[in-house]
Amino acid sequence: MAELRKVLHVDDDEDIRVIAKMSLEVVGDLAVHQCSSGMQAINEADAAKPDLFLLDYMMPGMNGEETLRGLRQIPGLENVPVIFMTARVQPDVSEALKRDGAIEVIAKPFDPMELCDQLRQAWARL
Amino acid sequence: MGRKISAQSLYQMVIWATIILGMVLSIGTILHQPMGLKGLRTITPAFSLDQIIVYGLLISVLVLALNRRNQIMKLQSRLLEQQAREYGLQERAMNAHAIVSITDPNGKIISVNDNFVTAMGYDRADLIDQSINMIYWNGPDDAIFNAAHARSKSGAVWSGENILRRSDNAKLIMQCTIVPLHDKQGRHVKNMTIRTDITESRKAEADRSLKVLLDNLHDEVYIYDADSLDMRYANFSAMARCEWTRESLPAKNIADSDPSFNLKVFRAHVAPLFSGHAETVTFDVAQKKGQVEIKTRLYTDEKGERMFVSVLRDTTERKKLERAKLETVSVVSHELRTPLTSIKGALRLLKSGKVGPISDAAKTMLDIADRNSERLLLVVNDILDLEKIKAGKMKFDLAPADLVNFLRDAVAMNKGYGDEQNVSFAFETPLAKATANIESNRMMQVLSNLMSNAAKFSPDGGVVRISLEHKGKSWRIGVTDNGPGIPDEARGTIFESFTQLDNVDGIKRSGTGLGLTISNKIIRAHGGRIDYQSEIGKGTTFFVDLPAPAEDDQSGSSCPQGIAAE
Repeated sequence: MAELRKVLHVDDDEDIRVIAKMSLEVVGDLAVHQCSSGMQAINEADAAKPDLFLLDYMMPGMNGEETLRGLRQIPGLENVPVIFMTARVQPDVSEALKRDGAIEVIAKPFDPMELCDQLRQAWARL
Repeated sequence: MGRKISAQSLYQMVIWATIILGMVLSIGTILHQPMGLKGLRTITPAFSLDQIIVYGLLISVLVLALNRRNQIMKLQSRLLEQQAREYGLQERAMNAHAIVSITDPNGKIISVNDNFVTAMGYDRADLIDQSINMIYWNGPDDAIFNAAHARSKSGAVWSGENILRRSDNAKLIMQCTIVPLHDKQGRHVKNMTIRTDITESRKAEADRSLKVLLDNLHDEVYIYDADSLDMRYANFSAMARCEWTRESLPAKNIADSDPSFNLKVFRAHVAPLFSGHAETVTFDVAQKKGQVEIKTRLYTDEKGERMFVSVLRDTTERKKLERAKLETVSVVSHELRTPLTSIKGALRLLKSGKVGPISDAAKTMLDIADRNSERLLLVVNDILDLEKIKAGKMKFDLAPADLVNFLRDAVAMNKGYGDEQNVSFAFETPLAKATANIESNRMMQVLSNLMSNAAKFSPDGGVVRISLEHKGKSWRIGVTDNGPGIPDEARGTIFESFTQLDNVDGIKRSGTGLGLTISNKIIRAHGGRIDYQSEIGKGTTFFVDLPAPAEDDQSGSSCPQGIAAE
């Protein structure tokens, strides 16, 4: 599997986007394209050409799962691996998301110093 | 023989003859009609007729008086005899019916009747000359004994109930009357105490009241044979739902109480009651009319037969409320986690120096902010956990695991926290393997909680000992610290939410105050129990008892879902 280089991150919370960007770019040395909603992600994903989707699960409007369904419709992105982030910590939610194809589910609050490692480890398991 | 005149009758006849003669003479004189008494005058020339009349009258009156006195004396004698007979009868009746003791004014036993000996279970010789307070429930300190004897000393009769202790320590309730007895000079010489045993009638009364209460309880109550499951009792609510009657009840079985009753599932659920792993088992059952909770206990009745008593409560409304509460807590928890993600993320990045150099003083401040945001997060997590357990939404998929390995893992996992507190963990066990059915993640949460508590309360450089042993039908995990100990007054509240032992030694320790509450609930869901022993100034051992599967079932089987043992 090729090296993980670019992540499409979708989260409606601006502060979390800033933290995640800094974590992935500065700590993890990854390229990040960020969107504040599922709709924006679907519109920009094709141009962004990410290696990995990092999606917040709970978002107003389209939630993480709906966003993923939209992204999967875009030719060429059908098989991009997805990692969800969620502030809902119930194990059944995590299990359901993994059954639906998520390679990892990261609980919020996440540690920005370790986020990148978590992404790379999941990527390496593919 | 029949015609023989007795001396008594002759005496009576003479008296009456004299009286009649005296009366006739008197009346004749009064009417001035001499009745041919000239002969008399001739015979007794020494007396005049008038004198004879007067003497006759006097003799008549005298004889009459004597006769009357004689009759009165006889009557009195008969009355006395009758009284004596009645008194004897009364005494016999009292001795036959009541429990009687005679004591001196200070309570020393002078005599007791047979009923007393039988009722109290002592030999007569062991009672005589002893203080009567030996039979009172609280001995010489018995308040009722002291009050009753103070009253009899004042000369008054005391009546009331008292509780006595039989020789075999059984409790007896007696209706009691103490009568002080006085001699001719009015000195208090004895007390006679008459008692009636009302223990059984009191118990029967209490049983009757309880039965009325049970009959009318809103919850459904079923009592049935633990082996055959044949019904013995059902209250009105239960009979109404099952459409049973008092007459049809004896022919019913608990299986008839619900069409969906499954004998195999039922036997699996009540198994912990027989093995001694639980005193109560609780089922959550969805019935046609809604959600019900059935609590079942096992007991042995007075005939020595094992019975189940099940109480069925409609929990539809409660479950609805719990779900709504959990939903609210989940939303609040989510809403708190989102800003916490930013706060913690920003602090971590700042501390890492990745966004620019920071001074030592600034780093100290960042550490404080980071530590406290972590604490806030723990509270949020714990509250959510607690609500999940309460709402029955926390799943426990029990699977067999080796506790020896599990505890080694627990020590490794918590080493980091121990290092922070400068406390080490030492695990020791004589066992090579100990299989128990556990939900590993939740059990690790319990161990982490107990070990972090022990570390928090340990002195600097201290050692927290983790032990595992076989105890009865359970495995016992112990976590021992050499901390300040837990005061006795905390015993009732230590497993309650938001209880923290901050002031044991004046040192404030961090924590959410929910850890033990959650641990307790997790252990209960495993059919086990959690408790502690503590000594002030020496330390505390928290222990967890988990059911050990029977020897032939070491592979373990999964506990049925939806059941909680208390």
